[in-house]
Amino acid sequence: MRSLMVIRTLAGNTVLELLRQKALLILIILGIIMAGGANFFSQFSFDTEQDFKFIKDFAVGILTLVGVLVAIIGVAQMLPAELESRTVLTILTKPVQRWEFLLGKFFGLCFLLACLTLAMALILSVVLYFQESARVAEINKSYEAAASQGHEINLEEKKAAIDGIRKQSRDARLISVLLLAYFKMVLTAALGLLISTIATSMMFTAIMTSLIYISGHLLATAREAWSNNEAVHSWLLKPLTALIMVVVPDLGSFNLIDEIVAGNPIPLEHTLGILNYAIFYTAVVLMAACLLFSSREL
Amino acid sequence: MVSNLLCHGGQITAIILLLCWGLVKIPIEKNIDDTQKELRFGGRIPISQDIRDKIGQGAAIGLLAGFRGFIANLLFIQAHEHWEKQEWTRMKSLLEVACTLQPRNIKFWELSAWHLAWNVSYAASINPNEPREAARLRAQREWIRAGRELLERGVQANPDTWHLWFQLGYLISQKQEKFAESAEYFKKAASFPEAPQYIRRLVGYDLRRAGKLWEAYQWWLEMWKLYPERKDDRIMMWPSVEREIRALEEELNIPAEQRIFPSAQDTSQSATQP
Amino acid sequence: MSDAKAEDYPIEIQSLRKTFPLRWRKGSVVAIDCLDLRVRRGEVFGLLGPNGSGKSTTLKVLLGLLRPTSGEARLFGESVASVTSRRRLGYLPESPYFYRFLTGEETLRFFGPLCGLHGAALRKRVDELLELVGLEHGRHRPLSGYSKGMLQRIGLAQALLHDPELLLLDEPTAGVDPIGSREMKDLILELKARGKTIVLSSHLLDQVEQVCDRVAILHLGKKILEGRISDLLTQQGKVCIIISDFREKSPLQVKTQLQSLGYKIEEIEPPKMTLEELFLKRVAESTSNAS
Repeated sequence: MRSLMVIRTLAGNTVLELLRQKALLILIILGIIMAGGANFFSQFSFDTEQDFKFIKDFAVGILTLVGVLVAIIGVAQMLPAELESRTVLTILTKPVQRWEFLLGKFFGLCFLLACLTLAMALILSVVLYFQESARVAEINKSYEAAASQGHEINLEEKKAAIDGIRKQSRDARLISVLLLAYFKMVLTAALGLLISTIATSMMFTAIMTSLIYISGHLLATAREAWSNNEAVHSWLLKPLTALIMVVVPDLGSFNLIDEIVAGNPIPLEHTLGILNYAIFYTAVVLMAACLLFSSREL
Repeated sequence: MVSNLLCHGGQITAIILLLCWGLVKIPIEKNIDDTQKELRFGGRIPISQDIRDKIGQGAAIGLLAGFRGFIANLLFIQAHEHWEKQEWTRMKSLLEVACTLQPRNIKFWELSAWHLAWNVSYAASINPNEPREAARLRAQREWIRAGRELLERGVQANPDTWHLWFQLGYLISQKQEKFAESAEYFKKAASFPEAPQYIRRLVGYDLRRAGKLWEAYQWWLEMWKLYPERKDDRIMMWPSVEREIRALEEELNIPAEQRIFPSAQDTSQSATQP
Repeated sequence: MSDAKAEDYPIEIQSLRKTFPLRWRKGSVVAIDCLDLRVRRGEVFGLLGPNGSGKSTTLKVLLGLLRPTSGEARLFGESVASVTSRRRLGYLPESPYFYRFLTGEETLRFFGPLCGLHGAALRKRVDELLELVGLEHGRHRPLSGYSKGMLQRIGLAQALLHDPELLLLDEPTAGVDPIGSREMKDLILELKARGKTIVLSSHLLDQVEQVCDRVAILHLGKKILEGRISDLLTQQGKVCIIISDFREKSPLQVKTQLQSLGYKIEEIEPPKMTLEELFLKRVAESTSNAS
């Protein structure tokens, strides 16, 4: 109970601290504005389905980009800044465990990322809603015009068209997409935190976390290369590939937006499987970070 | 010494924990990956191709991560601009990349093939900068072939939906007039339960155009028997189907007792016989 | 170690050794070498030493920020490695290591839950402490706008949040004006009167002399001196006599008289007040004239 109170206090302060970072604040605001601008891209599409596709692609792309940047920048400056300003010393001289401190900082960042994801989700919903309303109104108008000119109206066809639009705009699978995007940010932040427990500078933490993030998207490729001797046979590449497979998470499997817009079904068990993987991975990384930080001399 | 032990103990434990997890996670990740391959996620095309190309493509797709769709859309928009400026080659490159980035987006393949096999091929056939007709026709054929190749890649990425099978059949039928091939593709498209029923008619038409009269006849018979009630007249156009059957029965000299539609002559003969 | 004894000595250091390994070269730097120290309950203890003597390292070991290489350090009988050992400890850092964007009040309300305080109890305590350290007027101002003296005061307030029995004050008056220093000194004495145990680390020897009961002097990681101030500073066998209305010619007569009694007179000169005493006296006079 006491630990929860301590973690909550530290998390709350971390959120305030992060929001005071001008770079992060600008990034977040920019991201939100750009998400709202997703509607702009729909004018380039050629049919309803592509309209919604463009909007979803863009909004999720922006969320991924901004979210990951916020995660990396946020985590890179979190611990190093505390160590540099020595505010961590004042906190740790209280009866606060080092793991409580670390988790407090981490959950503060996770909370900020959650707010960002929710904000983007809300904006995406609003944009999709407006698109849906506009398209449905268009359909109603065209059918009314046809009716007024004496043409036969197929109500079933009209209903099918409207249902098709609603299917595109009210896609519950987007929840899976956003959830996985969020947990990808969280896992990236956890990895950054792990690195910052042994790193001495913000720059180093940011660069290493970015490298791991990028490598995480090449894991599937590395896996294929590893199992194919033709592709990877050098004495250097083989162990390097193996290292990537052991050290780096498979972040590529978190991307479901392409499957959503392609209309692929996404089994719930599959989404839950990836979520479990993310949560477990994050927990392991946090444990390692706590162990490393506990043994660090300040 | 105790302090060192405690200090390094934490570090050693952390490293062991990460290494153990690193080994444990590999099969978990493989499992997720296999599931996604089955579901055809991530733009994986499970065909045999040069492993280095595959790795290169995989790496490119992996690196773009959550921005694949966004970039594919941008490329598609840019391709459209090149189309308007009649910069066909650039347009083709961008379309191919867009399709590669989001291979599960049917519309990309459809529109790209349409641009190449219809629009650009026609533009090539009337190219005012090329005075030689032979060259224009060759160019036209090449663009049609490019459209076909694109669709063939499309069906490899999307074998589980009727759309591109149909588009491929339609392209081959309309643009290359290889009706035997197109009929096969129409058949494949028609085999999907959700495929529009009119595709079945296209199979019959093209089998006949290909000179495979007997197969065409069998196809129409099967259709005729499959739909005894014969509704959806607007889509299935049963009178047209009836005409085809009749014509084929005549051409193939099907014995009267085996015909579905006996000829007028057969009818009068049977009427006069006791 | 019995509980009673542990309570008598809030700080116990036995054969403490702390070394820092040198990277890229063999060997290590010895920051503390076989230090034995005990601080009695209720006393004000001064930890003195030049730069690099091991004072900060000793404090960091007590605070759990550094791990002893060998030896033991305990707070109220508990090993310093345990977080619970810091439950009865308050620490005022040398420089204010606080979040500059928080106000004085917010700073205390941030540290409160970390010390186990929350809700109405925390609010009450925050009000009490702000009044105690004289920061009522600055409670809503961000720390970035605080003067050095104000920062020290808020530092002391956060150290006292959970009413700890033991206080570690690292250079509490560094960079603070004489009035602030005097107020800090008075506060220390008041806390001592309340039964707190205080360990003071400072370079300002005159201030240590004024408040501390006992001191230890460290040099190159070793303790070179420890004892009561009065015992250490008193020059045994000598006495100082202050005479009022001393006439100019009197010194020789007084000297002759005392020598006739068998005393050896080393020097006769007017007593001097300290610069601090003069400063404070004049400022107080000026203040009362102005009002």
